[in-house]
Amino acid sequence: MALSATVIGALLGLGTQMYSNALRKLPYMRHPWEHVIGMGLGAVFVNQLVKWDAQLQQDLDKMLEKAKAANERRYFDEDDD
Amino acid sequence: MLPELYLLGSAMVVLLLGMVVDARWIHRLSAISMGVVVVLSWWSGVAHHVAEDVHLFSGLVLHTQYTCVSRIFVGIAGFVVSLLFLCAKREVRYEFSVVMLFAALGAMTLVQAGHFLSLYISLELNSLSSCVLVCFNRGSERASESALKFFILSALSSCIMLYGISLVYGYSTGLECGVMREILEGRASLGATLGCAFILVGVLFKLAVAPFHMWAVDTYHGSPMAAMAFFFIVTKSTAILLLARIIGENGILQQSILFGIIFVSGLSAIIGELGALRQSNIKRLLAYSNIGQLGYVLPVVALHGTSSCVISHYVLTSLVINAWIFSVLLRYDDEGFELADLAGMYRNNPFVAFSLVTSMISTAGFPPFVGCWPKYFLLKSIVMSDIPAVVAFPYVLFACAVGAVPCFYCFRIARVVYFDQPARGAEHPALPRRLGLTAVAVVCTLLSVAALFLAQYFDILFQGLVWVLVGHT
Repeated sequence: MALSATVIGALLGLGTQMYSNALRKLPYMRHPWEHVIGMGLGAVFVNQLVKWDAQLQQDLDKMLEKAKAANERRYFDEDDD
Repeated sequence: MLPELYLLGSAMVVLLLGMVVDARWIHRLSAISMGVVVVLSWWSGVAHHVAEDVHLFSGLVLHTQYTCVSRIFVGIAGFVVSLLFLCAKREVRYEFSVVMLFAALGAMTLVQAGHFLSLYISLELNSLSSCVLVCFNRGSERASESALKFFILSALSSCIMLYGISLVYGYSTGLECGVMREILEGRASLGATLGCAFILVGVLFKLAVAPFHMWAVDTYHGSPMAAMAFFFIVTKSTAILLLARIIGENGILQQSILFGIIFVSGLSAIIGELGALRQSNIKRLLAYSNIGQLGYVLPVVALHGTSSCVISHYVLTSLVINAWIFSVLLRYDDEGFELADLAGMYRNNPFVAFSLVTSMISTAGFPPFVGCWPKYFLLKSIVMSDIPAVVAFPYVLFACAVGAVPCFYCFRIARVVYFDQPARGAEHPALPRRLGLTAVAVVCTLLSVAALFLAQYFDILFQGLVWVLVGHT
């Protein structure tokens, strides 16, 4: 999972830098260190995105559990007369 | 929703790539994207077929056999238009292909909309993209005038449709398209019926049905030829399939709405065919002819809705005939041509002359050309339906009488092309060689010949086609 996120992020960063060069009508690989920086930033961004998505899923599961418990307390416990 | 997501993604990618890549590659990529969308639509229909109707995204999208097949038809129509545009090799900015992709996206989501909100958003996506396509020639006054007319009248029809949606919501407390069934069967209040009528007016505007046709002729005349092809092939198919789905499988039983639609159909037929008689510009002539043809298909849509395969037959045949016509027209510039300019065409361009004449006569629906079969089946459906004979028979006789009018302008084209002599020193110019358009014309000719012999078996063939497209019947 981490490997695929890193690869995708690196490709995304590389593509963004090449696109930026293309927009300015420069050769695609001008200043190649910028591409390396872009790949690094892209890899970090996508890995952080994956972690954020996992955290979001956990938070959502907790919220749903709390809501379910509250509903059970409100509607099922009131039946015990 | 995979095909729609792919189409959206490819439109975005093409929009970004167009800034750095040559426009011709963007046009090619757009055509390839539409082809992939057709394949994905087919795969999605086969891989995800379900026995019952499925409501996705809280009812915003319907996944039924009808919507799957409609989506594929709209995808094929979009692919054909992209292919025609690519083969025409027009020197236009790359944004034309991008906007066409967005318009196709609007069309594909429109035929699957299960809720009035998603229906309205899809309709606006299609309309606004179409407006941009119309005014794409920025330097042309006629294009600007056409786009302005289209935009203002389209906005007016959208307002009327929204008002109808609000009335339906107020009287039925629901925004699902399914509430229309109760209204169209005559089991709703007057307010809901009025709302339904307003919604149908909005859809009829998109079809350019008389008396809501005022925008169509001038808009088509001023728009680029490829945009006109998009309206004829994609927008018309989408609106007919959408109208059939809104009406449902039982047809319209509310007599006030049913007879209203039959009345506007008759009005379209007579205004369209008589209007085409006076035209000398090919684009205006085709626009009026298009309006006139709706007089045949609308009553069947109102009477049978989605339960009749005759409407699918008409949509497919219309797609082939319009692709055939535009394989010729896209060789000319965006202004089109006057009919008198066709004199002597057969000497320099015999195959193009043949394609133009046979496709125009097919449009008119004369036997033995391919357009006669859909007209025959449509009129037969009207006679065999449940409406009173005192309405059905006079309407069919009226349609047959009005159907004779196209012979005047279609055979006039044939006379000018084959028999008229050009003015001295003014021979018909040799048209640019477009191998792709010639190939499209050849394919359409072969399909038309095949359709002539297979049309009477369309019921069985259509069942087989549905099985191939969505994996079940």
